[in-house]
Formats: sequence, C-alpha cells, structure tokens
Amino acid sequence: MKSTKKNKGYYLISVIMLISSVIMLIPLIMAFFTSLKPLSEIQTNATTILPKEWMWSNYAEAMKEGNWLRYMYNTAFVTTITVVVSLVINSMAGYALARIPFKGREILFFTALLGMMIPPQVTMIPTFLMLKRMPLVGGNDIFGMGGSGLMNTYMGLILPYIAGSFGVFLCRQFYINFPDSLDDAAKIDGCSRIRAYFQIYIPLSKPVLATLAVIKASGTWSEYLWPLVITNKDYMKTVQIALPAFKQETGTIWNLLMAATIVTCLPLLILFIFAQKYFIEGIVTTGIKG
Amino acid sequence: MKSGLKMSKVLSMLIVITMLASLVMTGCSKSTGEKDNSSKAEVQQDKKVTLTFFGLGQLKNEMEYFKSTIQKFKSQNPNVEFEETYANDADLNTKMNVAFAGGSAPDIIYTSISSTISRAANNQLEPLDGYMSQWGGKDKFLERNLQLGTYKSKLYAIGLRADPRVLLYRKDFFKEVGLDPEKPPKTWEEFADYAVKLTKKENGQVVRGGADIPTTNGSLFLAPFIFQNGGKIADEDNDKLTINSPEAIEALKYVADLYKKGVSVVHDGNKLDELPFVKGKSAMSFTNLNSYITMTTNDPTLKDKIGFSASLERKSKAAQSGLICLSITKDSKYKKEASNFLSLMLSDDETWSRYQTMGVIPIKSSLQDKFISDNPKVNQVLSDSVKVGITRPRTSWGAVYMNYEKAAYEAVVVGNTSAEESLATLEKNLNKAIQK
Repeated sequence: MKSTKKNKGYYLISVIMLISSVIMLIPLIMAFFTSLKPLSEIQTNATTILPKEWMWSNYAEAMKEGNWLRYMYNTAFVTTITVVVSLVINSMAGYALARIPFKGREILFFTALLGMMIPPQVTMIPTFLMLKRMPLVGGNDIFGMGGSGLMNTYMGLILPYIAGSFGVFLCRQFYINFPDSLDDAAKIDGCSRIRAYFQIYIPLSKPVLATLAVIKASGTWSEYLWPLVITNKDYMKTVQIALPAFKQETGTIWNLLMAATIVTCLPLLILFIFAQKYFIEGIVTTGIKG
Repeated sequence: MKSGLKMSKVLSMLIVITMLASLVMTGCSKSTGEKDNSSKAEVQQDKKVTLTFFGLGQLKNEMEYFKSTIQKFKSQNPNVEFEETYANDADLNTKMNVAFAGGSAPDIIYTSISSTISRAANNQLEPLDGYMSQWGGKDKFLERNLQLGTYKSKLYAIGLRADPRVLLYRKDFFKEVGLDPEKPPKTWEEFADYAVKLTKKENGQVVRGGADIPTTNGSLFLAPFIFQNGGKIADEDNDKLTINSPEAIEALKYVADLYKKGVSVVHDGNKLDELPFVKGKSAMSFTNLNSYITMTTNDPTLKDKIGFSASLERKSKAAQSGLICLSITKDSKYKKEASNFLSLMLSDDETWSRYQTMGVIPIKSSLQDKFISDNPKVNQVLSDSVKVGITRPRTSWGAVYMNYEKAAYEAVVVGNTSAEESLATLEKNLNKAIQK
C-alpha cells in the first residue's frame, strides 16, 4: 500500500514537472519556429506555430547582417579569458580570505561584499572614466588624456568582468569549510601557503571552479550594457550588441532576429547541457541566477 | 630569508602605491587636461582633426548614406577624420549619457528630437543660431522644422529627417460601404462617422476596424487631436505642463468615445509595423509612410487601394511628426569642422539626394515645390503634414512625460475614469515628478 502511494505521488509530481518544463520551453520553441518563417507570415494576423514555409535560409540571411563571425569570436575570446583569469585570481583570493589569517582580513572581505551590493549601473560611469583615462594606452599620455584609453579593446571589455567580487565570495565560502587540520598537516610536511594552495586545495576545488566557470561564462556571454558602453567600433561588437541591428525603424525583422538569437544562445545551451549540475549548484550555493 | 621577505613586502607596497598614484593622477587630471586640449585645438586648425559622430542606426540605407557622405566630406577636407558610432535610439541614449558624463562627448549627434531637446535642457548642446548664415539662412528651411529644434528661443537642432503620420485609408473598403474613395474625412465628425460605417463585426467581435484607435500607448495618437482642438501639451518657453485644459479634455473624450463605440481592433499604438491597418484589419490609420511601404511590398496590389490624406482639422491642423536632428555638442573642440559637415548635410544637393535615395522628405523650403511635383498624390500630403508637425513636448521633462500620459490615456479610453479626472491626475503626478 505504502509503495503504491509513493508511486502515485511520484507520477503526479513527474507530470506536473513535465508540464512546467514544456511551459518553460514554449518561448524557445516559438523562437525556433519563428526563425524559420518568412516575415510576411509573421506579420499576418493569424498566429501559427509551425511555419507554412520552412525557411532555413533565414539563418544564412541573419548571419549576413553584419560580421557575425567576428562578433562570435569577440564574445568567445572575452568569455574565455574572463573565465580563465577569474578562476585563477578568484580562487587565490578566496583561498587567502578563507585560510590565511592576516590583519584586516574580515574588513577586506566585507569590502569585497560591498562591491557586490552596488548595482553595476551605478559604477558604470566611474569604470568607463577609469578605463578611458588609463595612462599610456590607447594614445593617452601619462595623465590619461588625449586618446581613447581602453575603449574598443579586449582589455576594456575583460577587466571589469574579472574585477568583480562574486567569484571571490564563492571561493571563500567553499574554502572556509575545509578543516584546519588540513593546513596543519601541510605545514608539518613543510608546505608553504602557495604550495598548499596548488597541491592540496586546487585538486579539491573542482566543484567550485566548475560552478564559477559556468556562472562567469553565462554572465559574460550574456552581458549587454558594458560592451555597449565601452565599444563604438563594429569590429569590437559582441553578439548581444549585434542583435538589436534586426530591430529597425521600419519594424523588427522577427525571423532574422530569432535566427540570430538561436545562434547566439547555442553555445550557452550546449554549456548548460554538459554542465547543468554546476549551474544548479551555483544557484543553490549563492542564490544568484547569474 | 628574512631580508628576502622584507624586500618582497617593500616591492608589493611600491607596486600598490604606484597603482594608486596613477589612479589619482587620472582622476585629478580632468580640468587641466581638457583646458590644455581646447587651447591646442584652436592652434591646430590645419592639423589632423577627428570628428566624433554619434548617429541613429536604425535604417540600413541611412547608415550607408551617412558613411558615403562622410567619405565625401573627408575628400573635401583631408585634415578631418571621422569616428562614427551608430546605434538604435535606446542604446544611443545610453552611450551618449555615458559619453557626456565621462567628458568624451561626441562632436556631432544625430538623434531623435526628444533626446536632442532634453540634452539642450541639460546644457549639452551648442546653439546653432550663429551658424545659420553659413547654412544659407533661416528662410531656406521649413519654419516648422526650425521651431521644433528650438528650446527657450535658441536653435539647438536642425531636423534632417521628418517622419509625419498621415491618414492612410483603404479605398476598396470605402467603396464597399458606399463612401467616396477620393474623399477622405477632414473633420473630427467625419472621421468618427466614417469609422463607424467602416467597422465590420461578427458575433459582436470587431473583425475589421473602421479606424486604428490604440488600446495602449496612445499618446502619439492623442496629441494631434489636442493641438487640432486649439490646446497645447506644454508651455515650452516656460517649461510648464498645460495639458489639463478644456481643449485637451474634449480631445481625450472624443478619442475615448470613438474607441468605446467599438471601431477598432485591440493594438499597441507604438508598434506601427503591427497596426491592424498594416495587417489588413482596419480601414483607416494615422501612420507613417513606412506602413504604406511595408503593405505594398508584401502585397503590390494594394498600391492603388491605399489613399493618403493630411491631418484632420478642427480649430487648426496638426500631425504627429517624428524628427531626427543634427546638433553640435557644446563641449566639441572642433565646432568649425562640425559646422562645415552640417553645411554639407544641409545643402540643397544633399537634401535632394537623401530624398532620391532614401525617400527622406526635404526639410528645405526651397525644395518643396520640386518635392511635391515629383509625386503630387503622396508628397503634397507629406509636405503639408511636416509643415504642421508636432513632436513630444520639447521641455526638460519631455522624456518622462510619455509614461504619465500613457496611464492617463488608458484610464479613459479603456477604463472608466473621466477625462477631467485623468488629466488632473496626470498634471498632479507629473508636476510632483518634475519637482523631484
């Protein structure tokens, strides 16, 4: 009797979850089918799900609107460097804040947390000023005047992403759970702090590093506001900045926009499929959807 | 070992101090640096100049036109380089806000009139009155165009592209219900009467609207009716809201009563590409030329079935008209070169070229006759509409006004609030927001 009740409950929950999943997937499915329709079909009053005419050529047409290979490369490059550098420096900082006792450690960590509480829109202009007036780069003199600094550069795109303190917070919370006896044992064996970090903590950090990589990658790939502000040149655009090109004054070219959106989402979708466990872990650990 | 540790600590401190010092230097260098640059610019007249241009990039052919004209200008002025940035309206505003706040404002901007006027109100733009003699004098331009680019008696923007909303109507639907297809409505009463006659209903549902009356985002639809009735939305000279007037109340009541007669299909007034008229689901619509182009591109047989008419008239004529303008920024270090560029853009040759290549309505009074004679059926209507064009309020609060008017419109048209109460609430809430 007990097992029958359990099975009924299991099936009921499964059905509810299945229906919820389908509902969540509907926008993506509609976007996909819209990407295959001719524009005239989308502009008619009648709402159809499946295209009457399947236009796979929309994807090619969408990719011709601008230098999409370049935009993809820019986004992939910025995301990769951001993830790699963030993993290194955030894990190091997290380790130091969690495992190394030093004066002002708590104040430093609190300062890092403060940074997380301030919306990026508030710091956008000061950050822009700092990067535009970076001395001796982009034609700037020693006082940071006369040139464009780090505008329209990969560094300009990457630096603010790696400067964020979210990764430090995540790693610190992870490393703080290790027992003190691990450090004691390492010390007894003659391990320096840095050696302990590389030889003991890093091998044990796969979950947090995978989670951080996934969250950073999805956040950087989806970022819109900062690339909009720091880049003016077409060759430095990222995929998110390139998408609004389909929204024109005469109207939105919905089919091409949806096609470009699907192409833009594909890398993240693939990443999610292979690393969904870490996506969920990240949400659970931090409560942040990224 | 100990001395090694001490050295590395000293080294770390030195690195931190250097980094902090460079940050402080960049932060403190603003005023001296910029003054030096401006004085240098005056001396460097014959040296390389880079003009920064921020422009709307929502039309592919327009961007291509700008690029080719910039090339033309560069060939005429070899010492001038251009840095161009194109983006849609919202993104361009974001980029400009950051650029102005960061002290790297562009030299020339090409953007919507509402954005331009709000920048004029924030003292970010250069008054253009002194440059008019270089551009041929004020009488060469449509008077209304210059009025719209004026803020507190100073000219800050020259409209380059006007986008008036005209009355498009289906001649075939007119014939169906016994109306003369060559006689579109000219007055409010005629418009309401025609709308009712042209409405088709099945089982109580509107299957073809007599006219497009927006369900939401109806501000740009309502505004011409207020002006036609002798009212005004704002006293622009004094930056004050004046919409709570008997004329505006009457206009809002008229629109709401017409909507409640069930003459329209539900739609969003801001989405011109999704208007019921464009989808063949209504008989009349106040919309722009792009709607006609979209419809006839999708169905060429509609070319002879769509009629054009200018604005309705009551106490005066008025037509909603979008306007994209050129301006020079106040902080530009190369105002002379910027003015030279505007001189090229505003020349008769370039103005006519824009009409021929992109269908842009010429904003020069000297070209109106030529424009009308090129396609009298359509261009007469467009020219008349531009001459009585109205835009969003050209005030310091113009950008926030639309949200409040949206709520006021919907409360009356779709809801049960009276026009008097709704406009009184709009006035109270907007004045509170302005004071903040």
